Parts: sequence; structure tokens; C-alpha cells
Amino acid sequence: MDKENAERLLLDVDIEEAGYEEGDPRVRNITFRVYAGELLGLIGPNGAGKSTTIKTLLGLLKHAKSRVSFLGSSGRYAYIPEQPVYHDDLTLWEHMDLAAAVYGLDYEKFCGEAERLLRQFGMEEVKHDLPGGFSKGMKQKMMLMLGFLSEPDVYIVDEPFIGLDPRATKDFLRLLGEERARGAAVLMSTHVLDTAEKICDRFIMIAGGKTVAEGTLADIRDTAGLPEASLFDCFDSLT
Amino acid sequence: MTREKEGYLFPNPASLFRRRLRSHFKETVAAVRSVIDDWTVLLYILVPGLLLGGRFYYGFWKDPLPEWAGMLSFPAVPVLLLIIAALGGILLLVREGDALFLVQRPEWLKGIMLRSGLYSMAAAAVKTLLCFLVLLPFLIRLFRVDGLVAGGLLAFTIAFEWVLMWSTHLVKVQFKGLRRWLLYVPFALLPSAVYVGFVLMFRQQAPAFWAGALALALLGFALLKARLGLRGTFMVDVQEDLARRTRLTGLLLSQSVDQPRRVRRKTWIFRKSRHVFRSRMPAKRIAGAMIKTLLRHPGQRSLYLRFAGVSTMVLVTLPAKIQIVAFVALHALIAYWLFLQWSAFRKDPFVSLLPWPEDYGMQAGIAALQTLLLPFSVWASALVLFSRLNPWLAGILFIPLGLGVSWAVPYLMRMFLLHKKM
Repeated sequence: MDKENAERLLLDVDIEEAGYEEGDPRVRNITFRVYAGELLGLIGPNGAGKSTTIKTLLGLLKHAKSRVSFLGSSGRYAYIPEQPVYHDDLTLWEHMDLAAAVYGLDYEKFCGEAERLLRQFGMEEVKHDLPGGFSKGMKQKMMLMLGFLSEPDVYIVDEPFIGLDPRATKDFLRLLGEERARGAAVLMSTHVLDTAEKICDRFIMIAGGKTVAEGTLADIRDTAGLPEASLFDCFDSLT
Repeated sequence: MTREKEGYLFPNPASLFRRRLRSHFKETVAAVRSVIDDWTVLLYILVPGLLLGGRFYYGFWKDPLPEWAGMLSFPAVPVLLLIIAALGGILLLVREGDALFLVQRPEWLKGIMLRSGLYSMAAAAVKTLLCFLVLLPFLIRLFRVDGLVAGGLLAFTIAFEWVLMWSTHLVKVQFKGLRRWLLYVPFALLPSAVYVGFVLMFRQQAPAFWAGALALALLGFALLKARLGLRGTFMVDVQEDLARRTRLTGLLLSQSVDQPRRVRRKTWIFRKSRHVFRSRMPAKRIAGAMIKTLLRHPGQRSLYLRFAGVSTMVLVTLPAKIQIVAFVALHALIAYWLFLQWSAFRKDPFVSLLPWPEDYGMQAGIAALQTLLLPFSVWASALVLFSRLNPWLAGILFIPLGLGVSWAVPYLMRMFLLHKKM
């Protein structure tokens, strides 16, 4: 993340509490910021509250006391869910077309960009097919392409590596890198800690619905009291 | 049973088959009980229904046959029997979990399939027998069929049903899409036509029926053997079996819950993702997406056509003065339904992930409603105008009227539904 981008705050999140039922908050006092060009890793064990955090900042939870601000010039953000979400009766191309239409993208530019993404992810042959017949990995790729299509200010990515083959993982990381260079901010939730350690600028580690550590890898190591340790070892120690 | 298998719950395929069959019966009973568990259903509907049905059946044997029976001709018999035979199906009792262990032991899988196949044939025979018994008084008293011929006809029908069940099953598990439908022609439609023709040709010849029954029964068992020798159909078998096992539950829930849809890869409507509108403006593309989702959904498409069918009957049979009122009311009904479909599209899990454009969202909704309403409006306008005006004038006016109505109604609907977002 370069210095120029670091000064531009794109996502400001302050969650006092949030949950699925009244009076039963699953996360408390989660606060973080994501700057332009930054990749913030949201990590934690199963049931820690990562998905609840993401749903809160997307405004999907009724029982949430939070303040979430998307501060980019376009105000656009893209959510790439862990479980692919699609409409049974629209083809892959139609999903992309609908997303582009909703975002108000120029049609000619959309066509060029969509074809490029389809080539990149090896999905050209199936662009007129219904996603119901796709494999798990293909559905995941579809979610990624839809996210990249709109060139948003902020990416919120939930477990992007599940179901992706190594080539697709490499393509995804490269595209993510290009987006970060463009100035987009990325919040990524993942269990794949060795990859996260290599690509994330900072981390926010959640356990039991609360923040247990945050900052760079060095900060996490200090918090865990394990200098030179891997993120995995710090995770193991802190959660 | 070898010593090493003693003590196991399911030491052999037969025991596992019996367990699965018992589970299947339990699921079926539970589904039926969900409907008739209420004692009032039993008391006021089922018991009287059975008593009344029994009295009618006694009457078919003893009393003069009803007047409508006189309108029946013998060809109706094989057609009815064919419909009854076509209801049969194969239940293999294979489960998705069998992929873990059972699929590695062919003798186990074959053992379950063989017993399930024989059970399916026996169940089909019982079902056909019961339906045949209902038809029997008409066969004997109306068409003067003797006992031997009736017995032969029953045996022939059951044997034919076995062949039909296995041949359609073999096509279903090995082919999909257009090829499957094309193969139904030689493996289902043609045999059905031959069955009807055979029954009509040999209607009083018992030896022909019995010989045909024997030949078909042997063919049925040969197809069963062929089925056991098939390879590579496990996942399709599981899918078809699940569909078959849950058919009754689906039927009972059909009024309250949509049937789960089969996974499709291709669509026939707007193939190659063709646009609905010529314009590439965002509002038109959003409207086009919604139109496609409605037209590609079998349930929604069918409902639209059924509504058009019922509306046709209404408009054609009503007197002139009430026709106009009905024309307006039917448009209001279908427009409201389309509006609900638009709302459902907006709330679709995928669409709701996207930031809805308030500025041209409404334009998209209006465009979608106008386009979907147009075929109905033009048709209804034609029905009303051709029944009231001279054909030349009606021919000139029905399209403009349909266009005008389909253009205006969504705006009027929008005015009445101000509190709802488009």
C-alpha cells in the first residue's frame, strides 16, 4: 500500500454490537478502518463472528448498533460471498449484464471488461449457460468476476479461496493486486493463513465476538508475545 | 451368514433393502398423515368418501349403469389403461450416501437394485389391478368382455407397464436434454401406440392377450437385467430416486410450496443471452433480466398461460355489458400479479446484493410490466373487439387497444401502489 493511498480512508466501521436475535449480540466493539490500496485480513476461528461482522457492515442484520461508512468517490462496494449467490434463470453473461446495468456502467465498456474477465477465469465457454449446472469452483469464479466488474472503491471478500484451483487463485490474487494499485480497499475474511500472511497489509483477529489483536504481522506477533512466529502460530496462541 | 457378519444390523443387501423399504413406507405414511391427521378430515371427508365410493362401485355391478357410460366406446378402455400404466415408475432405493461405501461393492448395490426393481414391478401390478377392478364392471356389463379376456387384458397391461417403466427409466438415467425427449418417442410413445392398437385388434381374443403378456413380461425382466448391468449412472439414479420418493410429498405440498426445480445448464428461451430490448440503457437491461426470469420459470410461465386461458373463457362467455368490467378487472389482476413478480425479483438473493438504482429502477419496473402485459392485453382486446365490432374494424383496432392498455395499466397500478417501491 503506497503512502498516497494510505491517506484515503475508504471504509470506516464501528460495530457496538450486532447479532441475529434481539438481546443476543454475537459481536461487540469491533472497530476498524480500511484505506485505499490496503488489504485488511479479517481472521478468526469458526464461530468467532467474522461472517456476522461482514453482514453487519453490509446492512443485512436487523439487530445491529453500528456505524459503517463507505467513503469512496463512487460509494460503490462489491461483496463477494463465501457461498455463491445467483439467480437460477439467468445465464452467467446475464448476471454480469444485470450487475453492470445496476451499477450504471457504460455498455461497451462492460462488454470489453466482461470478456476480459471471462478469458481470465477460463469461463468463456460457459458464458451462456445457467449457473445451476456449474461446479463449485465455477460458481465461486462467477462471484469473483461479478465483484471485479464494477471496479468498486471497496471489496468485501468472504473466504475467496475455497473451491478455486491454483490457476484461479493466482488470477484472483493478481486481479486483486491490480485493484489495490488502482486504489481500491479490500477487506478479506479467510482461514488460509499462509496466503493471508503473504498478501495482507494488516490484520484484525476476532475470537468470541471480540477483537483480540489487530495491526501488521509485527503487531500481531507483539500481542501474541511470539517474535518471528508465523501468523498461524499467533492465531493459535491468541484464539 | 458367515460368523464375521453376525451381529451386524445389515449383514447383507436384503436386510438393507428391507430397512430402506420400511423407511420409504414410513415417509409415505408421514406425508399422508400430515394431511389426514386431523380427525375432522377423517370424519367428514375420508370416511364418507370411501363409503360413497363403495356404494357407487356396488352400483356399477348391480344397478343399471349410469347414462354417461353409454357414451363410452371401447377405444377409451386401452387409453385409460395406458394412462394408468404410465403412472408406474421405478424406485431403486439408492441414496447419495451410498457413494461412500456401497458403490465399491457391486454385489450390494445390485442386490438392493434388484429387490427394489422387483418391488416396483409388484407395486405397479397391484396399483394397475386396483384400477382395473374399477373398470371391470364396465368391461363386463357394457363391452361384454368375458373373464378370460379380462384376465388376459389385465396381465397384458401389467406386463406392458413393466416394459414401459423400465424402458423410460433406462432412457432417463442415460440421457438428458433434447436427446432424452427424442428417445421417448421410440421407447415410450411408439410402444404405447402399439399397446392401444394391440388391445383394439385382439379385443376378444384371450390367447393373444396372454401370449402378449408372457412376451412382455419376459422383456420386462430382460430390461431389469439390462438395468443391473448399467455402469456410471449412480448420481442420476440418486437424483431420479429422490424425485420419485418425494413425489407424494411434493404433491401434498404443491399448493403451499413451490416444487424444487431440476438443475439446468441451458435455457431454451432467449438462448445465447439475447437481449429482450434493442436499447442497451441500464433500465431496459434490468427490465429484460426480470422478463427472462419470469419466462424461464416453468411455474410462472404456466400461471401466465393458465390465467390467459381462464380469461379467454370469461371474456368469451360474458354478456357485452359485463365484458368491459371483466376486461378491466382481469387487467388489474394480472398487472398486480406482475407487480408482485417484479417485487420478488428485486428481493431475489442475487439482485438484493446489488445496490438498487432508485433513479432508473422504476423505469425498469414499468418497462418490464408493460412488456409482460402486452401479449395478454392484445389477446384480451382481440376477444372483446371481435365479439362486439365487425371483423374489419376489430382487426384494425385490437392491436392499438392492446398496446394502449399495456402501456397505461402499469402507470395506473403504480399510482395505486404509491407506498410500494419499484
